[in-house]
Amino acid sequence: MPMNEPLIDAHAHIWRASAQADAALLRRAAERYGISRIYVSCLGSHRPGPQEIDECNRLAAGLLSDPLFGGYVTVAPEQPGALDVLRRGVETQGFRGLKLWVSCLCDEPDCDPLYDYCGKWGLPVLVHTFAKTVGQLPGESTAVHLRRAALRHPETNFLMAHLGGNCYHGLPLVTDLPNVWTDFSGSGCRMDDLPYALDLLGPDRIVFGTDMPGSFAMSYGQVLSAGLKPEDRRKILSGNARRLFEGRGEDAL
Amino acid sequence: MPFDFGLFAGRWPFRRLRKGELSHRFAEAPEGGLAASLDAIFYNDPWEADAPLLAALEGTALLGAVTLDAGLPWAEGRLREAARAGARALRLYPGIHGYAPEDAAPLCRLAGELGLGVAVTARMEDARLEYLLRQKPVEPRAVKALAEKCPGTQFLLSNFYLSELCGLEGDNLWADTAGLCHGLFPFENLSFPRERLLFASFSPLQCRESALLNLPEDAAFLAENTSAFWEACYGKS
Repeated sequence: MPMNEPLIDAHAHIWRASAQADAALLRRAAERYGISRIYVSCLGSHRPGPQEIDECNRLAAGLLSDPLFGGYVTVAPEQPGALDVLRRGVETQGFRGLKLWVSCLCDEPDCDPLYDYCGKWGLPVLVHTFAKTVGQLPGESTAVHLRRAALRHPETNFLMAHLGGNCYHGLPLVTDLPNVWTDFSGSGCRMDDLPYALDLLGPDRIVFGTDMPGSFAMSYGQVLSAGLKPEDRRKILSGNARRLFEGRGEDAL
Repeated sequence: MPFDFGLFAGRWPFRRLRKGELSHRFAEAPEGGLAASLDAIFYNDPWEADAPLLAALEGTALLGAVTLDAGLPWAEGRLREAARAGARALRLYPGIHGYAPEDAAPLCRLAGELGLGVAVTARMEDARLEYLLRQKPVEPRAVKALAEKCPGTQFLLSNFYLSELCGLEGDNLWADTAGLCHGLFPFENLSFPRERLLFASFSPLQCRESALLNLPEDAAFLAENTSAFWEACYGKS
């Protein structure tokens, strides 16, 4: 059931322990649903060491010869040599963005050199954010942390994942920050999250993401149920991602 | 479109529902569904919300589920009244109303005698997002134990996650698909009897479109399951 419209998934993963199987699932989903491009990062444990980070990035980089895939380089900012990992990922391995997960909070000073680099080269920073009432991890950022980072680095574009995890907690914190974008991947299939995001942010800073191999239907169903205006739908499904990753306007669609 | 066992109408106290009205449910599920009141979950006397719901559903494609707190001393009398008013199922929320599933056995036995199915709701929303009301987890094994105590009643495990359903089986156990929204192609990884699966969207809390998108290409079996469920409840499809 291809969706017959340009569709860019700005937030997907392969997992270190199941990278090949995950990549196969992503390709199968792309074929079934008509996804034109998927931006992936590879994740492993919550606190990865240098070897694990290196392995994850090699696994993700291995996908980048396929035009279906774009990629984020995964970095653990608190590790020595983090900036080198980012540089190598961008300048040698072909990644187009930086992914931060849960190894440390995204407003830690260790992150600043990474954000400077991304701002200089126009690379988006995808930050896992989730405000949970149960199971919050010590290094798991929320919109509170992201706001601090984004204020310190106004030249860097941040992609706040999962609408902040709980959109009612996260989105009001970033409405005034033009360098914070958001995706609605993995945020559950709540009916009204996307309309709420549109009310607060407008259509220009929301990008489509799925958290695959998490789920495609969860995110795309939100688009279908939101009753979007055609021009907003185009922006959210592909136009905004093109601007974010390529600096290209909607006329490039 | 399959019959939708997880439809709701009303207000949800924690966020604005843009499509909460019953008219939205009629529009999105013309092929039929089982609707319950969201307001009834929180009312001291849920009948104040259920009576008008059942009246509004009369003669429509949607059937009504009555909401009861099994801990209420007059729950059995209210269940009889609801059956007379046309309710076709009982929906329970042990995680919100705060009782162990097995404590609902007398009410559930009565539901079976009245020809009503019993939907035991695992959750209404993702527990990680509930910062005003925290539902207690509903243990799937406890619902299975409840079902074993009430062999004359059909039980629908409602909005349980895939991992919670795997390996659960019982002569009178069914499960809905509302909690299968996680993962790609979730039906391929489900270890639950396929002939006991019923479609549910949990609209308007969850996106009905997401639930439909996740269905396998051979989803026609859900219609047969729907007939089988109602037949098991009251002897005809």
